[in-house]
Parts: sequence; structure tokens; C-alpha cells
Amino acid sequence: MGQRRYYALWIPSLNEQIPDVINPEPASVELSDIIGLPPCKLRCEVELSTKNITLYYSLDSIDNERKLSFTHLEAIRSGLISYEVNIPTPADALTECLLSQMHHSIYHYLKGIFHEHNYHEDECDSLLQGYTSTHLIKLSDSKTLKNIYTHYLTEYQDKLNDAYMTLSGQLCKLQETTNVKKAYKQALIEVKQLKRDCQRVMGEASYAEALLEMSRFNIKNTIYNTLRNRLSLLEILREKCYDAYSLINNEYNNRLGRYGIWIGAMGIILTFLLEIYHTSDNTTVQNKSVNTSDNYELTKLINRADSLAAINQQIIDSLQRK
Amino acid sequence: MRCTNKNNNLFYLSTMKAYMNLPICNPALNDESGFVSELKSKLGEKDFRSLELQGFIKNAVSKDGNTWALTKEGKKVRNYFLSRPSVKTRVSDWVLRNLLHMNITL
Repeated sequence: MGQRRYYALWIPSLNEQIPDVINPEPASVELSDIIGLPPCKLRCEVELSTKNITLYYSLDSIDNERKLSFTHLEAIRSGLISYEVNIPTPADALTECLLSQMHHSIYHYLKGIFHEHNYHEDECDSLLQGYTSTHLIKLSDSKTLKNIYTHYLTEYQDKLNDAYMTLSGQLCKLQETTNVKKAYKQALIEVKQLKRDCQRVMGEASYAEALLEMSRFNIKNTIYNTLRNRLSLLEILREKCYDAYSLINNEYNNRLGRYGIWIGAMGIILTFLLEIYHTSDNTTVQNKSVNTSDNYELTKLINRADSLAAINQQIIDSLQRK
Repeated sequence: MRCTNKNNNLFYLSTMKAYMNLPICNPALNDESGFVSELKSKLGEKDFRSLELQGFIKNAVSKDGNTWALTKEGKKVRNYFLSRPSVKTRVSDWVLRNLLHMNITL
């Protein structure tokens, strides 16, 4: 006996397509945040023909591995796939999470069967909460579909709102570093990270935009307009961040380039002056050394002539005596 | 004074260092990991969800309760706001400002 739960999972995609298994054997993972606590181990098996998933998990050791069967119900072209799970009682720490809503980490793990994690670190994918229901989910029912789309679009709206606030804060900090503190090296480091963060957020926003377009005629206008407005504001903010990056990066490199040219020119002039000084100094030394060696040779010649004269005198004297 | 989702004005954030009130700057994240229940009590449900949605914290399940830890991205963004520049960077800044008279305005 147990309690039945139904999940409609959005598998992020940029184009309309029925979620298909692209990774039938996802690697097992160990979820652990606090060192010392036993990790939660997850692994799963997927039946390719039915898309049914068996999730194996253990909260303490491998000996106590338990399993949950996710029975595939439906999948539609807008990237939604529904599953039914019979959660056994009494519930443990993991199944308790699944009763109220699908735990991010489980959603993330199951999403990895159908989706490649682009635009974000693998560990940063635990973003949206999966749509959970106690009643059977029929994706063909327009009211149910509207609820599911509304759920995910509201999640995206909150996410992009928060991302907008954080990026705005980062841009303000950058302005403070550049305009007030005049710390340009620090500003360069900050603006590079800001650009990377912008790319990450805009990458995720593209999935929100894709879902928004796919659900255009199934949601309220207010939701559509709010998210569309948020996407526009994010685009404006992205442009501001990119402009800041171009300005700081170009100015910094141009300035350094200019100073480099000046330093190079000064180096050339300095080398030239040193060369002139060195050459003139060498000539004097050479002259001096030539003079010294000439004197030495002359002395040697005089000495040799003297000794020859002495020898000649000795020979003449000896001949005269004879 | 807190940043709210209703107020998206850059000027609002630029005044009084309001960005320090963003959830990612909260001192409750100093430990970098812990139990979800404790963090929720310190941050509030809304800020906790905000961090989750932005991928700044990840969740795990354990027998003793759900746990959280800062992700790589979370650490980077937190350092962006809170960390002091290194000595090398400060020396470079001084040289650029005082010797090379660099001047950039955003």
C-alpha cells in the first residue's frame, strides 16, 4: 500500500519536441552537502521502450537500497512528460519530499535522462520545482495543461526576477568600483565575471522564452505579458553589462597598449644612449691599451738591441785578445 | 531597507549599497553548508527559494533532514560582492590610478 503521486516534468528544450531518452544509463550520484553525514546515493534504470524509470536510492549504506518505480504516462511536444509513482508508507526522508513536491535533486537527476545540461554547471540545475499532483495528470486536458504551464512559467518568472536583481546588484557594484573607488584592475576582474553571469542567466532565459512561446495559447495574458516584460528587461540589462565590459576592457587594454608603446620607445632611446656612451668609452680604452703595448714593445726592442750590442762587444773583445 | 522583486530600479540598488541586502550576501551563508531548516529560519522562505532558483545553493537529502551547500556559482557571486581584492590587485590599482593616471567612468 502507498500513496500515489503524479508528476508533470518540463524537460527544457528550445524547440518543440517530445522528450526522448538520450541518456539511458545516467551515472549514479551521491548527494552530500555536509561532510560527515552519509550521502544520499541515487541510481536509475530506464526502459527504453516504455520510458519507465526505476529509481534506486539509499540514505545510509548500499545495503539498505530502496527503489521507486516511475511509470510513464504521457509526453507532449512542448517538452512535458508525466509520471505516476506509488510512494510506499511509512515514508522516509526522500519519499516524504516526493509527497509534497518533487525534490529538486530528484527532478534534476531524472531530467538528466532526457536533457543535456547547457548554460549552467551540472550542480546548478536544481532550479525549478516539478509539477506535482495527487490526481491523475492528463496532458491532453487543456485545463490541466494550463495549470502545468502556469506553474513552470511562474517559477521561471520568479527565477528571472531574482536573477535580474542579482545582476543589477553586480552592475552597481561594478559602477562603484570603477567610478568611486577608481580600482580599474578590480573592475576588469568584476566585469569579466559579470559577463559570464549574464551569459548564464540569458542561456536559462532562452528556455523560459521557448516554453513561453510553446504555451502561448494556453496561458493567461497577464502571465505571458509579465514574463515577456521580464525577458525584455533582462535583455536591456544584458546590453548594459556588455557595454560596460566593452568599455572597461577596451579602455584598459588601450591604455596599457599606449603606455607599453611609451615604455618601449623610452627603452629604445635609453639603449641608444647607452650604446653611444659604451662605444666612446671603448675607443678611449682601446687607445690607451694601444699606447701601453707600444711602449712595452719599444722597451723590449731597446733591451734586445742592448743585449745584442753587449754580445757583439764581447765577441769583438775576444777576437782582439787573440 | 530590502531589495524586493517589485523594485527593479538600478538607481535603487545603487544607493546606500543596497546590493548588500541581496540574499546571496546574507551572513547566514557564511558556513557554506548546513541544514535547510536552520537556513530557512535565518533567511526566510522567500530568500531561500530565491537562492535555490538562481542555482546558488544545492540541496541534498539525508536521514537527519534536508541539507544545503553553496554551489560553485554561488561562491563566485558571493565573493564578487563580499571579498576584498588581493594585494596584487590593489597594487595594480594604485599604479594604474596614481602613476599611469588612468581614468574610466561608466
